[in-house]
Amino acid sequence: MSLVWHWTVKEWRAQRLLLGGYAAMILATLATVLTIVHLRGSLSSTGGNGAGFVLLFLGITAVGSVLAASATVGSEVVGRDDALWRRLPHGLRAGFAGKLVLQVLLLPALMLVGALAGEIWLVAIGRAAVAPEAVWRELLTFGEPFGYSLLALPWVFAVSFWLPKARLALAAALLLITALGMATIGILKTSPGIERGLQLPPWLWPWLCSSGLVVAAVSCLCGRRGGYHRRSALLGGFATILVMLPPAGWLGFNVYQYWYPDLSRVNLDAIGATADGRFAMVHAVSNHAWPSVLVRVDLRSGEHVPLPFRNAFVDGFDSPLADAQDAVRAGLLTIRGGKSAWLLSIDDLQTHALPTNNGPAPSLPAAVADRWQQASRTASSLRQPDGRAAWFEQSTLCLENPDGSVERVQIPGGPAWPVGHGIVVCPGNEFSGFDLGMRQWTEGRVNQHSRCVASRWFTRAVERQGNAVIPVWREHQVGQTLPRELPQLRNAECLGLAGNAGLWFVRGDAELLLYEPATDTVTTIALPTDRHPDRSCMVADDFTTTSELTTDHRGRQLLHLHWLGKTSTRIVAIDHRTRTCAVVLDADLLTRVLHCEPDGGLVADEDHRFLVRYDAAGVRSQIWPRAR
Amino acid sequence: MNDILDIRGLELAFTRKRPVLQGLDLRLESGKVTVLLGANGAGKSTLLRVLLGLQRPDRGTVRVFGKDPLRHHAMIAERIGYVPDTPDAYPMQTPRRFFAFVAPHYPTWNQELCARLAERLQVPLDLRFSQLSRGQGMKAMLVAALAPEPELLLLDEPFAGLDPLVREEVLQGLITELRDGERTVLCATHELEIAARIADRIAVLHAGRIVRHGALDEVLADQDQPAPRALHELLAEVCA
Repeated sequence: MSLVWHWTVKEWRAQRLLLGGYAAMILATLATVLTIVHLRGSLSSTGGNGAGFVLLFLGITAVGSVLAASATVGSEVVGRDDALWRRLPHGLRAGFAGKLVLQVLLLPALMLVGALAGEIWLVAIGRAAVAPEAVWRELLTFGEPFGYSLLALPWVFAVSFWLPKARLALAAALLLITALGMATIGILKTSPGIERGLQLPPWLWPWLCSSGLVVAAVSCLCGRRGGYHRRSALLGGFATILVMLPPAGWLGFNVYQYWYPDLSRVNLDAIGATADGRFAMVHAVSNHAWPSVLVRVDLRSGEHVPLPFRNAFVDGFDSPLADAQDAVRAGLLTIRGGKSAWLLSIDDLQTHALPTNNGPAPSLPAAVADRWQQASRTASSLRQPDGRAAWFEQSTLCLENPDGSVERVQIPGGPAWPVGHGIVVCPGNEFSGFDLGMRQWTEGRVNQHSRCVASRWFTRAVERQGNAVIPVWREHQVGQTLPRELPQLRNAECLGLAGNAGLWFVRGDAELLLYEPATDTVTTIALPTDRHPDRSCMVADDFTTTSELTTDHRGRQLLHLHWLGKTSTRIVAIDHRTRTCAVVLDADLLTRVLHCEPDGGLVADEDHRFLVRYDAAGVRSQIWPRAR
Repeated sequence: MNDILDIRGLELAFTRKRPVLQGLDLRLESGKVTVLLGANGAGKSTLLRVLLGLQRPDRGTVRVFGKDPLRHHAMIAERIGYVPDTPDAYPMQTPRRFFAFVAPHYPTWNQELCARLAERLQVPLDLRFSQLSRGQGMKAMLVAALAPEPELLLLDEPFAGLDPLVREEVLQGLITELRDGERTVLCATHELEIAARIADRIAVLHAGRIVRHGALDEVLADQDQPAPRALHELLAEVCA
């Protein structure tokens, strides 16, 4: 240690004039610039208590330690090379350690000098001096960029050994750091959006900092033994590659995870299941900030096939009323990415390019086109009051006639909503309703919350009582300008169609209402929400955007009941014919039914983590991911 | 025989087209003063730098005190004194501070000897090296090389570029010191006069090899060995 201290003192004596000169120049320049700005009045609204200025002085002065890093190495060169410290016994080792100790001591010393200079400057311009605690708090606030900039210190030290007389070491170190940064950015560019999901491990910054010291040690102790700057650069470069392997490995692992996520440990977002219950399509998400992987899961075997589509979103047909879930049910899925679109046949995983707005229009094979057309009909959630099909083909509404012919109605562009036996469109700011039964546009006021049942339109409005917003329902009757109030549905929200002649509503936490317009009667059915009487219950489903609820093998419609603050789900079946509500399944986790099997079983997405099957007796089995 | 230095097949080239040492073999016996003679650029300094572990050879083996100077540098360097061809001390240091700086590196450093030598050679102790003349600087380097009482002394053209008075002063100081101890010396020079005055043995370095090695008269007597004609004539002249 005494020999190291011996070298530290020697370095201090060698560098003190140079460092003093640098520090004086930096501080004088900074003070002059800030004083000019202050005299112009530009600082009056900034700076707060002045701690920021002191931190500025402190930080910029600390940069002097970076200059010392290269100066200590360069000063060893006397005459043609740096022979003295290399030939002295233990000279290299003690010299290296001495230079390091000097830098470690210089950093806080220069920061202190900078802080003092900042305080003096504040007093000189007539402002109050800042308490050290305030500067410390400011340093903690802006500590991150300050800490990052200090990362350069060991690397400047390392690069100093690679250059003759350590000339331009600071620029070369910045070049090296830039090159490493560019390489990192290049790797990140291969995986768009990966940076949003990267969580920097706690060891990374300490590693990058300490690895600079390791490279410096290799460059000095190994490179300078029997060699000069070229050998230091060679061995130092090799050491740099080695020390960069762990961060590169971490980055590479994340890139691999990005492209090939471990599908046994993903969160999933189920799109839907095919009508035959054979396949399900899911978005598998290994990191919520990264694009998901589209995966086809075989619901019988649990096998999965990841599909090569990233940064793509899935869609139904060219219809605002048939979403991706409907498309999957029909065995097809539209995938859009960038300017391209493909049609995926789920059972055989064949893809076909689809026409897009920007590119040439490829033609689908006739069989595929025919299948797509058929599927767009069957997948549509629309239906006419008598059960006949209604679907969209681009912006044309197609209505099947009793004789099998199709009537086409041109629909104005803009958002569209299925509202039972009708649709509501909003081409501009005006809502219009089209009655599928009467095949005509409605009179009167409608909105996306309206419902049409057998050519009768019911519209939701709100009443305000103090801070409370109460939904009310009105019927618009043909030939009448004033709507008819429906007090029996006050404070109720509509769930969807109940068969072909009724509507389901829910009121409060526990009341299910079956409204039959033909008789203007409301039947109240108690929802089985008794499990958690202290909690509010939420009824949830996809029905707000589609006309029909999911139906089970007995034709009953399924509702999902959730309790606020709980993860459990109760699935109940409601039957408008028997006016009953029965519990089908109590699941401990958030569960959404994807498919109802003919034998009474259910396939569900559980907790956005598993695809599970419940048999008719309620016994759970996990389909995917398969247990290892 | 106790060989302090054993070099076999030493090869070193700074570039592919510029080989410096080409299969050099050399052994030094303990307690002898060997002068390494060679023209400028023959590789004398390079050879000394290899012995000090400053230069890594391309091929061959180098053993100083039986050990590799690169792998056992500190152990070997503690036993070697070295005078470079130009002072390599830090310019901001004075000789006094330089001696104080170098001393802790050598367990055998003799402070009394250092002071005595500095006095005898009239080294200005409190002027910085940047302010010293070349001769003064070389004298300070000689003091620093001798103060640890090294077993092996390597001198790299220590008298080159000195004015005659200083040169004589340095030479006398060296000769006196060599006479006092049983020390092995390898002195690289191209000056035959110096060789004649201090050498027990002579090694002639030419074309990257030691072409002659032996006592001065033996070297001159050996007419069969290849040597540059000019050098041969010079050797003869010196011996006469």
